[in-house]
Amino acid sequence: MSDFDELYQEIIRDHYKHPRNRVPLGKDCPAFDNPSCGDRVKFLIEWEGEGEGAVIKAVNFDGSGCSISMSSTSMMTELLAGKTRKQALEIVDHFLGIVHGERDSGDLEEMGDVIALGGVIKLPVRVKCATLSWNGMKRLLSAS
Amino acid sequence: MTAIHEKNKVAAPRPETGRGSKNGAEAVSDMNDRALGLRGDFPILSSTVGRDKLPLVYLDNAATTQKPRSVIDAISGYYERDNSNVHRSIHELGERATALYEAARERARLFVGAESADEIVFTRGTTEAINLVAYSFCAGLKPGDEILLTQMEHHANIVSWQIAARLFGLVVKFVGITDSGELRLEDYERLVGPRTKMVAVTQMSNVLGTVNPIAKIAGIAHSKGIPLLVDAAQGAAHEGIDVASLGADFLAFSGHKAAGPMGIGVLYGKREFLERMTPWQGGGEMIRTVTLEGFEPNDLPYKFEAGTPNVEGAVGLHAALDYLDSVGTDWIREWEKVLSERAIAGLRSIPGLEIFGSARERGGIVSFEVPGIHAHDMAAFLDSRGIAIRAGHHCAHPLAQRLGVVSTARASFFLYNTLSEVDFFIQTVDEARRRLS
Ligand SMILES: Cc1ncc(COP(=O)(O)O)c(C=O)c1O
Repeated sequence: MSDFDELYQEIIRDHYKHPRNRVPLGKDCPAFDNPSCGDRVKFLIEWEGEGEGAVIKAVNFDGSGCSISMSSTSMMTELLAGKTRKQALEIVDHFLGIVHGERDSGDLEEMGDVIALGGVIKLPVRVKCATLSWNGMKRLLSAS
Repeated sequence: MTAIHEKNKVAAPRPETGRGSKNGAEAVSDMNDRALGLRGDFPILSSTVGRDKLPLVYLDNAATTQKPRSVIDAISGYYERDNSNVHRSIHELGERATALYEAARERARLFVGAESADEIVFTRGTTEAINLVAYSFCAGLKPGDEILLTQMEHHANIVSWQIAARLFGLVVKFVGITDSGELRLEDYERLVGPRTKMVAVTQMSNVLGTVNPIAKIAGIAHSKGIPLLVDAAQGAAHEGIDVASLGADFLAFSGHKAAGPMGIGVLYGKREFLERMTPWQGGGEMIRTVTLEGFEPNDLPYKFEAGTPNVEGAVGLHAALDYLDSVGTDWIREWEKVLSERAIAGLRSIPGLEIFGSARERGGIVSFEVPGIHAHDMAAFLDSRGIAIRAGHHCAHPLAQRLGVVSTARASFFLYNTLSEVDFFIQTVDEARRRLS
């Protein structure tokens, strides 16, 4: 396997080619971008239930970017479905903690397809791609 | 030597000139031999990358070029023999360091064709040089005065002026570009007005590879008594610079994009302008006398060199300019033209691939996109084969907006690139297209 195949694992390519929860979203959805490369994501979160106990029915996204940023987003939307705001924030923090070296990268094991990003997050120049949507989601969940 | 760097049979390039001269293929083959020989001067080019120890194919020369052994040796030799602070230390090393620093200034004078070494200011690079002019020149202007730039500038040659515009109440205007990536020269006639106080333009676009008609633009500016600043970051090592024939009143370039070290650059400024300009940064050699009431600035060029300068960088730059002149900028320009024409022809044969810019006059920079493949993914794929290119907006947001793209892939050539590297690059881009789209 070449380095490229290791980096761009089949799961990553699958999420890039067949993104989950991707729908066209309008101008009024909150957008997050990475000015250094122009990658951009927008989110629309659908909630079910009320107050503390409300859970995420679906995270819809739209955007453009490289296969790392887009697949990372697609994976995230899958992980967050069915979670409360608090749980979702924990998952996002967990991932960002691993990326920033505060947690062991072995901890990715519990994160489903996200494990495929293990190689990417070791590359300083690609971390920005992998974290774009997670940073955006963190802001979104913390703000609202 | 590795497979891709091996001398390859030259596949019938276009004949250059008519009868009498060596036939085109033979001339190109000779040039390729020379490039192969020059590779030996650059230690890094024999290194390998990645787990599989692939030979490095370095096609990111517009970002920074590699450095020849002579530059590396000049820098370490300086630290081994001559290191001292300049201009102030009354001892042998101080004298030597000062002499080396001033010799580098004289070398830079010769390289840009300035009349006097007083017109050569050392800076950290192109960006700092332009910022210096944007501040010091614009400080003498009046609110409402205008600066005329172009849509193809690097951020360094846009934002410096936007900052000055905020500070001094100026207006920044832009000459547009055509679909083929050339400046709309007619815009100059329209936009140069009585309030225009500076025209600034890049010698070569770092995205499109377009080489601009600087002398013509200088003619338009000078006919109205307006000075011209030339951003020669991409021109210095590839096109050659002669401030007199370009008609530049100011010219900026970076050592690191011209075989020299990082952290050193040159600002050329015509004496009549530099003399009238206010100092930018304070401290060190830029001062003649200081009292609690104020200071009197030093003479040119020291007036613009505050603080301990980058002597090591100047020494390295000296060696780099020697190196470039020994190879010959005419040869470098010709060779990069051969390489980029071959690259463009090869890329054009790849289905769907789009090349940005098709100017008649162009240098060794080619930006492209394969629809459906993000530039980052293209760059990562090439990297996995040992090929270094750049992906992004190349610090030219307004240009990217004009082109309607967010991110492009860019290959850029230098004197040591070879025909087989170009062929391998094209083959790998095509492989990426097949595998990633
Ligand atoms: C046209 C142009 N101008 C200015 C610069 C800035 O050069 P530096 O970063 O060395 O100051 C660059 C470098 O990318 C460039 O290509």
